[in-house]
Amino acid sequence: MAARRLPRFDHRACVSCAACAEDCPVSCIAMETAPGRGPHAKPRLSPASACVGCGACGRACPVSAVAMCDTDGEA
Amino acid sequence: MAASYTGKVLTVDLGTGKIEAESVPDEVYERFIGGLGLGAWWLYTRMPAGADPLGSEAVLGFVPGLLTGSGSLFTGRWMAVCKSPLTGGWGDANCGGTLAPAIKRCGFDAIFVRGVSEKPVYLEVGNSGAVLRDASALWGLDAMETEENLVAAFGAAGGKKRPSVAAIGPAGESRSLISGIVTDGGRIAARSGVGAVMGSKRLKALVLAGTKPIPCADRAAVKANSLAFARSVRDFPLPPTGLLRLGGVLLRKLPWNLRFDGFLFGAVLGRLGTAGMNRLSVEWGDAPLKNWRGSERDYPARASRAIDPARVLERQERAYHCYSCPTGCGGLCRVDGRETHKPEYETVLALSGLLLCDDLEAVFRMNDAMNRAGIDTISAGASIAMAIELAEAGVLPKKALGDLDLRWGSAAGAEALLRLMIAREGLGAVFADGVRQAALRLGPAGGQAAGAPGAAPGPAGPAPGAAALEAAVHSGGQELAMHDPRNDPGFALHAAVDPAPGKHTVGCRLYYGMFRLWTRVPGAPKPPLLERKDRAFESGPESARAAVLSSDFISLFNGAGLCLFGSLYGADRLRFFETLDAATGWRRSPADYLEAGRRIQTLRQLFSLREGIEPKDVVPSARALGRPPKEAGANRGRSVPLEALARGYWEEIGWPEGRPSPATLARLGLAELEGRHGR
Repeated sequence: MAARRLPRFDHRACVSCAACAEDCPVSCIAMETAPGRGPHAKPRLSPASACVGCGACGRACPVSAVAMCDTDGEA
Repeated sequence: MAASYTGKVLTVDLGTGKIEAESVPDEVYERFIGGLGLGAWWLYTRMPAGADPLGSEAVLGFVPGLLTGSGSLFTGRWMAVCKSPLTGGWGDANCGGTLAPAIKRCGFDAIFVRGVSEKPVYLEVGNSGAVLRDASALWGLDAMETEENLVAAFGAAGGKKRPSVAAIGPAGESRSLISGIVTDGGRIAARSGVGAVMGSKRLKALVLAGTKPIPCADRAAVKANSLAFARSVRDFPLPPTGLLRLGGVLLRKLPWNLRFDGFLFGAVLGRLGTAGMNRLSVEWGDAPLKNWRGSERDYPARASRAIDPARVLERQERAYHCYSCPTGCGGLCRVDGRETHKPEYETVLALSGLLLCDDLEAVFRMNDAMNRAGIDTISAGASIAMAIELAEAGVLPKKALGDLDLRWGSAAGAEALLRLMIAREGLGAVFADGVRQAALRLGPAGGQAAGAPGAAPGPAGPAPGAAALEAAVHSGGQELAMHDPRNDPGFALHAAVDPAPGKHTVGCRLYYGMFRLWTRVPGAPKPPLLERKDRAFESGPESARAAVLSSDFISLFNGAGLCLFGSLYGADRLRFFETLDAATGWRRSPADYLEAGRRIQTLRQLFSLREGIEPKDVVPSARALGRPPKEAGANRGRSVPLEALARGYWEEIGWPEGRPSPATLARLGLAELEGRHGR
């Protein structure tokens, strides 16, 4: 599998502002809530295969909660 | 390093179909910041004086802010700017969601539209340019259906950017003077009649799909400020929501006003949304009740229980954050199985306490209906309240009422009238353009309104005359929001002296205490933690200075594209001025930035004056000023000394009698622009 740069979201630092999702040029970041984790949604790649690794999400994040990481192709 | 603006605006002439990208000199940003300021500069210099707000010469602008997309927080706001068909002067409306960064990702700091299209069109903008497309098939659809259709037609799948859409609904199409522009499945730039301007141009929607990077001088420094703010936010444990009502009782009974901490307000917003204020405001005397004539005694706990924050939250499926907002005061819910936004405080109170209704389900349905139609919930609620008051007083003829059950507390009657207003049928046609037009249509001077857009003749029967004029609660033609000046006179002052009258988002004693400008601006008054309530009704140099600083600050904030709720955390905690420096590469003092805010405010005032607005005539309705004072309940015995407060504001800002003096214009560098005044 070819290496890919994909965003990794730090949900503890995330303030749920969705700037990453909005600035994503291919709309592959979904804001989702999880049971028991309150009403404020957090980002998730959806689908990871659509991510082009451009880093726009990390650039947009006001609180540096997105890190671009090299992966083996899996999110 | 590039500052956080593109230096370009997109101009569209719907009459000729000409679309151009025009450059804006750096000097304009340095003097007017961007956002609201850029909109004011463009409209003042490009729109002829005396233009029909619904005619081909009128310009409608869509403006994000200087800080939008820079990595700063709370920058998801955009504004629609125009000559208001509702007030006749400067008009603007503020909205969150995703449109603000979408405009900038298309490579523009604003989109300005003029002319009138022969047929309905929508404007699509992407990385490769802009094009007008036929919207005939969309005309007649509600705003959310329009958005869904346009997103689907754009084909936002398979690795394409989902576009942001701004659309009008049937209210805008029919040029209702209280119609707005809708985005993001039910958020709305509601005020000033901006939807009517868009409808008059036969512009159904914008579809924005750009993916260009947004410039910023020092993004790392901006983000460091954002991160420092996010880490500094202190959380507060909140009591059960029912106890918030008792907090309102306490605030009513205390002999002092408190200076609130923005972190506490932020905790309420983040946890409960604006609905957190519902019952507290009723008890405190902040929420107007029974068309501004009632008190908490008319809307007791057994009624306000229906609008308890917990009841609103029960319907919320998840919180909604506008772009780059860490608070997330919005919420998504379902109405009739379809996802929509929950009603905000303003909406809930305009459709409950103002009408003495206690049916929250009806509030959710009406909110959804208005978001779909694209109509301002504040103005519509005020119009329904006026209709109920007149029906109860027996001055609306039975023939006009038909089977409408218009009485205090009847949600069914309110809903039925709202449906008629949206359809412009029957009595609904009388109230579809807000309270001032309704009073004109109902009163002895009803014939004067015949030329108004969508004007309807007054219903057959005796003219209600003075009763209609008295029941029409507005300032300068725009309905007042759900904050009673008899509790905080600042709301009356700014509703009167702001170039876009009737709004609640400029200033008041409560907001000023949270802005914390004294931490950054030499000479800015610092209010005490506890202050005798009657002090708020006294005019003086200090209160005038605070009021002017408030409008400077909010004009600057709207130039930068931030949310009012961000300002309430405090300028120092937000590192707002430092962020402006970091995003632009400028090095300016807070006082210098605030002077830019004053320049924006003054140019808006010049615009209204040029359109013939007489500042002394813009006065909120008598009952909202406590004239005569209420005899019972919260705010009893209080009258707002508006004339003295306005005189103090005008003296401090340098607008004698509401008209910027030559010295003021020279100091702000507006003298050359003012030369166009009155042409």
